[in-house]
Amino acid sequence: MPPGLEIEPFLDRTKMVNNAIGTVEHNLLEGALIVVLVLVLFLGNWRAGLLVASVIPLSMLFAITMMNAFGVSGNLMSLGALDFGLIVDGAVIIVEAILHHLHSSKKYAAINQLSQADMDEEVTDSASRMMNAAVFGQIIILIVYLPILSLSGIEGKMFTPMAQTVAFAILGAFILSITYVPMISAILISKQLRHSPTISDRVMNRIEALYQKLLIRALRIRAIIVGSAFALLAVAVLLFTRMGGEFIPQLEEGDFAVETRLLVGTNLSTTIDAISRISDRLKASYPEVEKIVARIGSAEIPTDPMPIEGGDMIVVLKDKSQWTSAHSFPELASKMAATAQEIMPGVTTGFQFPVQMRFNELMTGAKQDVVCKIYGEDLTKLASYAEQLGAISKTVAGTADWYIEKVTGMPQIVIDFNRREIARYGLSIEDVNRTINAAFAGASAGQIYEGEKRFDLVVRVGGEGRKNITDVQNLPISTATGVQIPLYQIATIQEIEGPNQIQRENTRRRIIVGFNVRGRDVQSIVEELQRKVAVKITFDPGYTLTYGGAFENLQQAKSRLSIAVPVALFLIFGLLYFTFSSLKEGALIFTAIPLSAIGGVFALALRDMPFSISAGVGFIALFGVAVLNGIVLISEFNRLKLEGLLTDSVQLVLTGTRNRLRPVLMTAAVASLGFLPMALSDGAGAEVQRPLATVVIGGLLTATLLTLFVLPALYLLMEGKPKRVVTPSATAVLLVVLLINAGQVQAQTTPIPLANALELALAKNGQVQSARLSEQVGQRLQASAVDVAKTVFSADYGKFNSVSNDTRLGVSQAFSFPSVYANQRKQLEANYLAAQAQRQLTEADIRSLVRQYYFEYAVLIQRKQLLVYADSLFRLFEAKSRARFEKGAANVLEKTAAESQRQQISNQLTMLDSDIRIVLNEFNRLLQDNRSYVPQSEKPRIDEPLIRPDSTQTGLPILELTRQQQRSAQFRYQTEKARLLPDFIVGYNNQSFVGTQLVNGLEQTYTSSSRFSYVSGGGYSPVF
Amino acid sequence: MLYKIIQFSVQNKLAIGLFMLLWVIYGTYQVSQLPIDAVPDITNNQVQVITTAPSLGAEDVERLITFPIEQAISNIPGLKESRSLSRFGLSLITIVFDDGSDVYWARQQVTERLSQVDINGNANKPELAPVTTGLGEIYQYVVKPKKGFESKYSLADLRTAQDWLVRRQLLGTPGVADVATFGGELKQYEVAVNPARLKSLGLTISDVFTALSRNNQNTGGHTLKKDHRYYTSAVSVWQKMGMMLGKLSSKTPPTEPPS
Repeated sequence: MPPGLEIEPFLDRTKMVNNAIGTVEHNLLEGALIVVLVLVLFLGNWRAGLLVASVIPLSMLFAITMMNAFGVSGNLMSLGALDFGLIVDGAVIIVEAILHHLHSSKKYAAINQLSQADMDEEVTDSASRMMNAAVFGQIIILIVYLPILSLSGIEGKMFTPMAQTVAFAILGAFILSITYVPMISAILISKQLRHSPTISDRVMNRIEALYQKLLIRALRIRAIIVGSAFALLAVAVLLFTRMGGEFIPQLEEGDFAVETRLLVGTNLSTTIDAISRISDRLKASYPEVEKIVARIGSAEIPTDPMPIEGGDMIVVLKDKSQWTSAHSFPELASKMAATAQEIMPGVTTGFQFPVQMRFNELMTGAKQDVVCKIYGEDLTKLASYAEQLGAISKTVAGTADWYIEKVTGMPQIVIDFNRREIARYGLSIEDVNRTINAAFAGASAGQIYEGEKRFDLVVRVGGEGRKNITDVQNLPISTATGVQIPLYQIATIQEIEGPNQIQRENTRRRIIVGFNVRGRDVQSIVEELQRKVAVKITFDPGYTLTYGGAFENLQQAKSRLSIAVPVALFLIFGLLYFTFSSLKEGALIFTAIPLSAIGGVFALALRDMPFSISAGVGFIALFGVAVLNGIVLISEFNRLKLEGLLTDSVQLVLTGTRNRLRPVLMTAAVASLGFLPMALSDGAGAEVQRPLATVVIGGLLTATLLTLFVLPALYLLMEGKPKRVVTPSATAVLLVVLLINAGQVQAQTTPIPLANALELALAKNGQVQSARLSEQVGQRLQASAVDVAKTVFSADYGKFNSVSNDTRLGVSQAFSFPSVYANQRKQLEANYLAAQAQRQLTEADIRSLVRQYYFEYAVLIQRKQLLVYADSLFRLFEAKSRARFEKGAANVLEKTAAESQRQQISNQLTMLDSDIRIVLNEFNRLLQDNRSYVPQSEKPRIDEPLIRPDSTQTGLPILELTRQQQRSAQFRYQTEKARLLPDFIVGYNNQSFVGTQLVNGLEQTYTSSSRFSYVSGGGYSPVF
Repeated sequence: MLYKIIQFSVQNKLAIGLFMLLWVIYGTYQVSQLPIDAVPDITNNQVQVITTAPSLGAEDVERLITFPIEQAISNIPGLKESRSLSRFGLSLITIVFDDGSDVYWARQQVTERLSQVDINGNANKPELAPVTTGLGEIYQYVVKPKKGFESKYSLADLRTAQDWLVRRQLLGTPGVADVATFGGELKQYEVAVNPARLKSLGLTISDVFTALSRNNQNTGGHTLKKDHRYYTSAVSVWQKMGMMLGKLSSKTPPTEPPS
């Protein structure tokens, strides 16, 4: 460089690259740390957590190696979307299985120290057992990313590297999980077994208990749960259709490029003056500005052909943290644009980010975000359409920096030849043209060398001679005779406004109306614009309007996604079907996808983000992860079913969910928390990742919640009605058993003490059970106190507002007067208490009967003993009398008397036996077990006092019963009285007004998608 | 098979350990090789044809330059769309090709078609823009005098320094496609003609032009052998201002206009 010269960079892409990569590094590091933390917390084992975490850097190394091999560069998209939670999934499953087995297996219950060989075997076993689940999960995630690879165009170039990188990383993690992870687990996992639960175990137990309680409650209202999930889905779909759309969120590049345009035909010095005034003022009044560099016109290689009335200002800004005038880029841009307008009214300025501007120009040939192109032939017509369109676009909210291409208005000097005069002087048009050209345009007549430097040599009329129109008029033209004549003698020279520039696209002329988007999404802006244009502008035949720029890209990308997403879904479903070979189970797991979509949509709506292709890719990634949880649960249910230990499906679901709660929570937490830094990041370039991460986190949140509650409910609904705990035929069977038993009493009898007999009777007696069920009925019926009337959903279609067909959707709900519900509740409560008293009464009755027969039996047995003794005496007496009679010592009378006395005793004994049988039957009838019992009669004495404490006056069940019956009747009366009070109805309606309406004096045209809401209310009152 | 691999890994810990060591070393090496960018390169395949015609108005440029070129290139296979801009003195045609097309192939196709187009004589030869796009502009700088030297350098000096010092060195850097210069004053030797004085001499501008362009060339005179040395033909390209002036003065004796 010659002394005194210096080079100063002002726009350096490395600044943006470093910023973006800095953001990526920051996010990845934080994500990795969170994942490690979550792992350690869930596994409750430092070594295991760190071991799994070490897979993260290793798989990253693999991914980067593959990226180099496939020519993928490291950038915001390729590295930015890596979720380490997904990557470590396989390793997590394996290590969790090893730990779980070590701590819960009976094999190791008594061992405290493992040998290395044992450990090796254990690790190999667990790892290969879980391998299928791990591989399957990873395949699903890979498959989901396949359709992204099929995207083409800009979105393809943006997102294919992302899908590739994720795929590489997962592949790396897969290789690691079958080689490195088992090896290092065998070495590192502590061989000292501790059987006491760790803190995380205890926390998990607490969570499990809570979850079980909630799940049981949820399963009771499973239809409602499933119904509300689908209702939520409907709401989400509605929200989604209302959501705006943008192509790819704008990257905050840190600087502004300001396209500045003056009036067509402005000369260079005026442009320089205007732009330097604007930039001086901007620099002076905004401390954020570091420097401003402007350029006017086109470069030597005119890849960006700008006329001299236009210029680009590059506003180099300081770091965002040092800002004082504004908080966001759009805000600063608006303020700066206003300032520019203040200084130079009439100057069009467009504030954009430099790369964004170049990108727009590259794709559409215009620098604005949204470009409306009008095609046609006649430039004047095109210009007038463009003016109209520009005026309309200014009425659309969210647009800024409007630019209407100026096709005309270029001042020109037109030389109109007078052919007759030219002929008279013996000239030709060509001669005259050449002279004019050489005089004013000048022409290169060769080159001059200064050492190795080369400069053009140009011949043209000196500056003095080409200043104004008179110089043109006086240009000397030499005639064939050698006489020179001024140009005006052979031509009319006049100044007119001619065409400025003509743009063509695909060989048709076009004119551009462009604007930038600020603070609103592209899709809703363009839709509003389209509506307005349709009403206000009618194009002549041959003139057409298309919308380009970000909007066109969005449309194209949407149409590609609308193929890619269903293909991804279909692939997932196919894989599920082949794995479970059951359409039903496949569909069951598949429900996780709409359920996860709910969360994604709500998360976007909550953060007020429009749909963008980033978000779309987020949905695709989300679907893969969401399905995993479903797979884990359903395969556990199937495993339990195969084991055959649990036949009741409710029990099966409860056990299955309890077993799998930890892995489900862990996978979801790791995957969603790993994305958290990305979702919250505010760094440069985070705009693109934020929607993606938001969708995944929101989606996983609902997907997990819903998997844990809705999936079991759906599973039960699909399995059919579960069997009731006591089947209706059970009592009948018992009766039959009793009848059979009655025939063969004491065939096989078991002695039973009184206490056990009482217990058995209370447990098995049908009367008690029936009373108990009545009590339960009473308790459950209490919930029916608030029996709100059915909700009315209505839909109208037709000509109810105007001649156009309108739609109306309504929902309304009627309520009774609140005191009705209060009284009903009290009545039902009294009913319940009465049933409770009834149950106590029945129990007391049964107890007393059992006791009565028990002791009666004891008494009979005693009597029988006495009779048997008496019988033996009379037999002896009879034998003696007979002997005396045979020897003649006694008469026949005495012998007969002895015989009849003995027979009387025998008869009594037979009678007693029958009595005993009767009492036993009665006793067993009370116990109602399928075995028969005899009271243990070793201790015939009644130890307890005859009056038991539970039958004292105060708590007498019979008193309680009547008291509650009386209350019930009273509240019944009050309920009926309350029913005479008015009922209420409230409703919400949503309808359309198709057609044109006068609003504030302006004609507004509404289509069926403009919705209007109103609420309604009313009451019912008994009049007649 | 998976089971076998797992078993092998657990039993041969050293082998896997070495494998992991290699993995880490190779991976770390690859990390240092990874090309880093802010966002993926989303440029589409473009070829730009630039034609300058300093003396044609917008409509003429469209009619005489843009339209024939557009016609000629319209059936190149793989063409996605073409856009053009015609304005006073400039025609710029952007031809977008499918993503699958090779950009060098596309340029070759365009060049072939261009050679068939008969371009108006007032226009310069159509040229292809460098193999880069506006998005490829990654670094912008200003060349300016340091404090205290402001008066020493004119705009033309700065431009000359940029064109002949900075640009030349930058172009030699691998990966640099082009350096586009903006602003300054392009150093040119201008022969400013005064029409009145020309008239008085009976010359026309065309005469001046012809005189200048005919007297600025080299020719080869083969070699001459003299005293064991070789001499080649003389050079008559103007090396500096003075020489040119000399030529001019000697070439412009007043000649009598034929009457």
